Amino acid sequence: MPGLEHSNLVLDLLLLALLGPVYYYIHRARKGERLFVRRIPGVDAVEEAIGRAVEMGRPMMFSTGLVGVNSVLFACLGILKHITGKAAQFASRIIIPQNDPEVMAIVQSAAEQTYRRQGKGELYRQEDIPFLSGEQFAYASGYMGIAHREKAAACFLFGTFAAESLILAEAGQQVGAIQVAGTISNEQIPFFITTCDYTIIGEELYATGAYLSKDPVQTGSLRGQDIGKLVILAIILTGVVWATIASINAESVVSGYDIPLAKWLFGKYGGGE
Amino acid sequence: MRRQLTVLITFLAGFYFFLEFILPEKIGVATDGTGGFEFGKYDERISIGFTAVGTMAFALGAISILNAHGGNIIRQRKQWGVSIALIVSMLISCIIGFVIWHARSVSSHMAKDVERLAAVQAMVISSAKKNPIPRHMKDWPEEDLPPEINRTATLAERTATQEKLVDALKSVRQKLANQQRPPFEKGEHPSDLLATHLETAGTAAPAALTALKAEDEEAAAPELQKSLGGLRGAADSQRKIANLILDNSAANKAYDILFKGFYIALGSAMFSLLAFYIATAAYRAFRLQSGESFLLMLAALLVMLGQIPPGVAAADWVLRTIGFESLSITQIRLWILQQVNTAAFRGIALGSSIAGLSMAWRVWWSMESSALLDDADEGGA
Repeated sequence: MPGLEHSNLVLDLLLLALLGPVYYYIHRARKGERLFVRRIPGVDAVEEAIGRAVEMGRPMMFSTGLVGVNSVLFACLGILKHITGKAAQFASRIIIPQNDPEVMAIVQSAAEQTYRRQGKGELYRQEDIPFLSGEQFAYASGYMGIAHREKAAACFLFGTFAAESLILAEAGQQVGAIQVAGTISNEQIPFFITTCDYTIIGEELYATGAYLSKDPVQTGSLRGQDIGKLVILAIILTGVVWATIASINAESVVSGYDIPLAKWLFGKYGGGE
Repeated sequence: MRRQLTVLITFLAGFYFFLEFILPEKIGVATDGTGGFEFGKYDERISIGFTAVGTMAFALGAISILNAHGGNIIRQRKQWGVSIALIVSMLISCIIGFVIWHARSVSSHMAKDVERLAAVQAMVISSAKKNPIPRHMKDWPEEDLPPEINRTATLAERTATQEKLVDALKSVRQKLANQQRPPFEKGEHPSDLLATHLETAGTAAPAALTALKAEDEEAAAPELQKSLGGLRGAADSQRKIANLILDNSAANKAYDILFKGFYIALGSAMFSLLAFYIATAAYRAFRLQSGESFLLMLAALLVMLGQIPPGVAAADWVLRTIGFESLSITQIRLWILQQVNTAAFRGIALGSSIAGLSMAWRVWWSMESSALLDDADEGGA
């Protein structure tokens, strides 16, 4: 068997260390074990925003931004299903403007399922999940227009965003909507923090989906990810201590792949050999 | 059934890309370097498949727009005039797009006629000697090779091909003589160049034919080369003419008005809004309402001061005055960005990546309750 690419024994072990706990905790959660998930403030904000929109009798808006069909979309779907379920339960309207037609088809399917599951299939309106444009600023402009025309009471911005993030968030601000945003797009987080009422940062986006859905697969996975993060943290700390000791002995600062741990981790791809 | 099919396709697709990522480019290669399976070989086909699905999805997008805005117009909902403007713009864009596509295919077709003649002429020349086997045909069995490969064409075959070429050249010249002469400002007009090249080829090709018929290969050779040069030059000129005709067409001008005049201008207008929004967002963020907003404001102030020359001069003067002579605001800015900011972003990126890995794994193994599955079918693998 010829050598593998993008992979070596250590990275395979690392993959196992990251995915093994995920599988283990999903298995436990599926068997009915209740796994504790810390409540994040963003979740309360979501509930608060839904309640406000229902009380005011004005629609909610949900945007997945420029997300394509990828893992972020699936994380957003968990949150979307929860919010859509509440909208169906309280006969409130939710508008979900779309930027990608493939995502639109998936979102429409998810929303319709949720309405049917709530026994409110007749309330589902496909025209409330319209395709606006595949172009970033045309989409932002369309979103702004809808927010202003419909006087949205709550805006949820969960997904992948770029420069249009601030335009979307400002549109909600202008109509006085309560806004909750969540993204893994690092560069957009400051914009959301300054403009939205609550911002869910990075991986909390995935955690929110798990918390809201109470799906054993998602909650088990969340617990497994925490173990994975501990593994990474242990490696970082070991590396820091090791590099510090090596620096003391070498009487000069070690950098890059100068320590055996880094060489071992990255193998020939790390440039350490 | 739908669920099983979705799960199976998801798993196989994920498995293919997983293997493609970790395995070498080619596996199962014999010791002599032959055979083996190459993963990347199917990438283009898969990519075409994705494009096909994406195209179908775009049709869904167009239907969604027509549904939503058609409904607005029919029911005369609020601001239904905007819906009319949108649908009319969409139809005009589609029509102009189709006209340009048709014009481009016609013009490229005309250039291709001449290119084809040049290719035939090159074949008549090269088939005088044994053609080497191209690299991509090396492994082909002898009987599958095209007739002009790996053998010398007979004189009779070459003469017959040249005769056909001369006839085809006549009809192509007639066709091209009637095409419009587009405006052109710099240097010699491509239409004049085309006429000159066609004249060269039109004289040399029949002369070569006469020599081939007389079995005089020596006399035919320079005429064939002259004809080839003329045809290649003509193909080049025809491509330029086709582009000029397209550039000067009414459809292209209309497209320019729509794209550069409206689309780009409107996009830029939306983008420019960001400048104002950043200012208002910054105002809200920097109001001192909490300890966090104080930290935010302090960090932003230090970074901004360290970014602009007057800020650097003023801040450094203050630092010197209060006794920190060896410290510069630029160092503080870099420390905030490289140490604090980068560390925070890496932490976020690390968490997101692990969560993304876990999510991808769940989707691959269909553990994720998917929007693509029916209610009754849900439950994961």
